[in-house]
Amino acid sequence: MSGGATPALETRGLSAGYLRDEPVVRDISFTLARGSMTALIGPNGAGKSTLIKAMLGLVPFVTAERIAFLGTDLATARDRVAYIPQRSQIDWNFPACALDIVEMGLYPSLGLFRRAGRETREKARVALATVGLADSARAQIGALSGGQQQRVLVARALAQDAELFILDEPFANIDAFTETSLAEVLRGLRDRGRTILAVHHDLRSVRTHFDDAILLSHTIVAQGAVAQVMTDATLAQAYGFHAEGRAEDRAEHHSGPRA
Amino acid sequence: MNAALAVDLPALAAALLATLACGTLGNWLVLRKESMTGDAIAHAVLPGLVAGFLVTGTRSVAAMFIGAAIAGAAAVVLSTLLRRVARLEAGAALGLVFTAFFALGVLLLESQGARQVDLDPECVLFGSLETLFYAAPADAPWHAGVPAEVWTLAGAAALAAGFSIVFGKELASLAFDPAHARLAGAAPRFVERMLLAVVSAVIVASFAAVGSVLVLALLVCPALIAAPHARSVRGQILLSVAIGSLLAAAGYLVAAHADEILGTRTALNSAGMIATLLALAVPCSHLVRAAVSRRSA
Repeated sequence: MSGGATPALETRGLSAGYLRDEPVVRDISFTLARGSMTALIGPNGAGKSTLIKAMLGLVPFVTAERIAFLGTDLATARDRVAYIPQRSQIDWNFPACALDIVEMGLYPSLGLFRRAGRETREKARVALATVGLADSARAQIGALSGGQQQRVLVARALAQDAELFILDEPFANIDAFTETSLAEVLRGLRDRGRTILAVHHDLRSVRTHFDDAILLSHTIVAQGAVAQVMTDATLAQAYGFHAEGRAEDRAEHHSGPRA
Repeated sequence: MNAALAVDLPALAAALLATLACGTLGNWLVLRKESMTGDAIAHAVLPGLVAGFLVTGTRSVAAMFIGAAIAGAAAVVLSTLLRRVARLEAGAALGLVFTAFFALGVLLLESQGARQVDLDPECVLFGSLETLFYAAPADAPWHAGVPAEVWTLAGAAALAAGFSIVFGKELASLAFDPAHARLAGAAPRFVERMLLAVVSAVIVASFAAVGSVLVLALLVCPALIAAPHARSVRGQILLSVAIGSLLAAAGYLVAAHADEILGTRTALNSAGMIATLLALAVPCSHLVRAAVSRRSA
């Protein structure tokens, strides 16, 4: 824990869902300190993506006592918050090269009427180089590998120079090299006082990539340091297995990567 | 002016300006996976257009705009109600409302058609490209003879192009990743509402001259023709307008001179011919793309 007095993200009493009176997640309260790196884990259908989208106002029915980004509301803090959606939510046939997409992270800072110039392009190039894609700047996004596409999205967030990064399954369906380099980039951000919250489903790598975790199964089952959150008891509770052998291994077996 | 030119030039100008207006905007709809939005608007505004005409008795642009705006707003309110109250899925609600509105519009047209010789279902479907002509004014500047439809379309084309240039970066980032852009964008809601308003205005402005069939074809086809070959959003828009214009000019000329070119007994409907060419070009373009990538693979 380091950095400012106000937490990076604070949520109290949040319930949210896609239909009125049918919340997917209920009574969610947690706080992320600045400079922390947290995995949001839980079984498929536990409401992990719904929770982060709800905080970002992307879910139709949300009630909460408090949702604070960097000590203020989302509307005020939004240029300092970067959201990286699941790669599968995006149409990769969109006519653009990698650099075009990264530049989109800089549009908010340009405002409505200013056009992207050489300075914008330079910043985008730096962000692409940070994720190891300097050579692919002019490649069509549809021609990139899944891991490269994921890195393009991360570069877009880097270009935005946000303080809070919220990622939905950044490690899903990517190659081993991208996983390692992405984890390095995220740790580098944390070391510079940025805050990371990522939906994550691979229980094996939670320990290697993250410091803290929130275990979700419609409500929060456990939260805190990874070692405290991932015990046989809590995992059994969240994934519905009874303590017979290691629940962690069985959970991995059950929750394959999402397409 | 030569008589053939006095007939062909205004109609060609109208077809090309409609292509520029609808073709440009259509790219944003196609990129946003909202091709059906244009469809929905074009159908839903019909009763308003007819009512505007019946109330004022003239085919004035202002009356049509007001009628269309009222009908459009009513369609939005109704489909929202259906979604909320009847719990219909968004697409189903929209589909229901715009079909019903279009039917209402046709009914209005048919029932009043006998009295109003100036407006009939034919004209709504296929426009009035054939009736546009340039009448050289005797004691007025040359442009006084240009038909009003051409000026309206020129305004629509300027609006569509200007909007796409000014808000290009916002529109592109909203189309690529709406969640991200709505979160971080400069004024996402404003830009999305503007897009809807500009598309509606361009549809209404194009209606009288080219008719609903060609408006719909021009909104979707040029963008779909260009999409498989484009490497950037700007490239896609430029390519779509270029190909759309070529097909529009070819379609008009073939239809207007069908007796000489195709050996038919009369000229063919030019809006219908252009729409047919556009629709045929979409699968051709995708087949070409597939063949090229197979060869290079």
